[in-house]
Amino acid sequence: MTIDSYERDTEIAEGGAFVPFEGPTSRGGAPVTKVDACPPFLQTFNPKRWTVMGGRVIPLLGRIPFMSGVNGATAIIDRTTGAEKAVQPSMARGMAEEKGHIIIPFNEIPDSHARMHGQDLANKSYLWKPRGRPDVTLSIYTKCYPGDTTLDCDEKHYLEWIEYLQDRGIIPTPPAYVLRRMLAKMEQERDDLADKARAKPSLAPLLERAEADVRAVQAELEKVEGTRREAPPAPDTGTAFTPDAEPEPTPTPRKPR
Amino acid sequence: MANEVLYAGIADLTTVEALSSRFLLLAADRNALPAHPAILKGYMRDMAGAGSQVLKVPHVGIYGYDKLQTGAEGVDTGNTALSDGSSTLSVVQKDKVYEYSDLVRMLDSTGIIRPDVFAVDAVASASVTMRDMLANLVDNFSSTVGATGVNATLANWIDAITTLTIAAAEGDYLGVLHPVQAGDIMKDAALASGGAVQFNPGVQALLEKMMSLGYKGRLLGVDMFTTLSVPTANAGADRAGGMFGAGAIIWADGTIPVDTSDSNQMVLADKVLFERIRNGRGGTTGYLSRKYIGMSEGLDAFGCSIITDA
Repeated sequence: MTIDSYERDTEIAEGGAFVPFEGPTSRGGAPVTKVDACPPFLQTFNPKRWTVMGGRVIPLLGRIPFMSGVNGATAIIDRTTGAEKAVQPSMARGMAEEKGHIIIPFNEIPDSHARMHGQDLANKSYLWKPRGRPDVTLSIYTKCYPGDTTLDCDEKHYLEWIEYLQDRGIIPTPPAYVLRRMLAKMEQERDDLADKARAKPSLAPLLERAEADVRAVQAELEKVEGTRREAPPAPDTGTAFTPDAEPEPTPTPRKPR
Repeated sequence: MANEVLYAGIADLTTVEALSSRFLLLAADRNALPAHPAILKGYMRDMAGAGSQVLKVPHVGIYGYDKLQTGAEGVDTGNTALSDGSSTLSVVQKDKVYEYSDLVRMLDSTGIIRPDVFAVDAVASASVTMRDMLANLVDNFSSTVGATGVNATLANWIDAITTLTIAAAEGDYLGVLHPVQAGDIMKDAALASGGAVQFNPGVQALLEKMMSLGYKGRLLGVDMFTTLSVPTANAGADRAGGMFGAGAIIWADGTIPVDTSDSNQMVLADKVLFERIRNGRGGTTGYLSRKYIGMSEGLDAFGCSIITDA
């Protein structure tokens, strides 16, 4: 039977179509993610923390969690419902900045990345909340899945974001002395792994990864040292120091006769 | 034969489903932090009577911090500056209420809707809250070991111990790891290490205790604690646990003064206030759990984050 047309019955009350939200227990509804609860956070740059990801030396970013009671953060409570309206991490921010950390503002992401979770350009943020989980806040470069506890990193876009932050001067590129220290440690670890891999061939992929990381650090070091060689010498802001020469011996006073 | 009494025919004598008197606990990490020196020595004070909920903790370079300098006969000795610094922590209110109606209390067949059950929950929840706060601090130390996307190994554990030793961190150390990290380290110890580690009685004892969360034992002289509260790093690529000595994490709490003539409130273990709130008109009874606590990073150099593949 084909229904070609429908004449609205004018006697019935007006209204609109409605489909109730059945939630994750229905067959049709997508289950919510099952990752562990995590609070919102500010990402911070610590000049001493670096790592290698995707063949690049990138900063190992820290966090200031928005948890009341942690690092001096306090909460604003809705006095009628008792719900937590906001967390004020000003003390935590102050302590981080005192240590020389750089706090990355929420909206410092490329415009194209703002569309990853349906954000609009006026309210960009590197944080997002999965639907149905108000207790979970993740980086937009962290992927989670319906009904699962798995978390994955969107490595491609995460590296793009780091490059964006460095290009805008928000965070610096790694200094040469940090790269030299990393290189020395990683070369030693690679050599130890190479010794083990001779007896255990299953370690070959791990060795390959270690070698790739060493090459990444070497390339970054060559880039930094090459840039340093090309730049004009920095003005001398200090003075050379040599220990004082041994002073002349004080003549012994003569006893009066 | 006719008139058999079958299950399908006695609908008035049966129910659709019966409620079991035994129940299953939903999955959660319920383990409390151990009473470990690295945590206990970070306890600053009880804030009762402090005059402020914010505590400034000074760092002082004394008791052998500055060496003696060379002097000379007859020459005035110059002053040595006293090195100092500080950390700040805020003690905040943490609480929750379970409220149930008289009807629920009447019909309860599981035995859960009882004040003694909620009292035990109050102390357990306070411990879990404190553990959660600490886990969100250990990922942020300046010193790190491990490599992004690479499983944790015993070498990472040893590197963390070495890092803290070089920093002159006071032992004993405590390692707080995600179970993924702990599992990777134990697998490395069991399958990929030499005899010195494999046949170490401490390591073997730890391997026997691999299952379940919480305190695992001592690995190479350092205590290991696993919790699901350990956060991620590098946009979810890694887990960021940490190892620390005394002074890396500082904390304070507060004893809530109670009216001893009021039998509706009492302070339980761990300074948790447990209070009964009765609403006779509405026919509901609430049980409040409350604790005042604050936790901060103290001396950054006394901690080392262990950041390895999730």
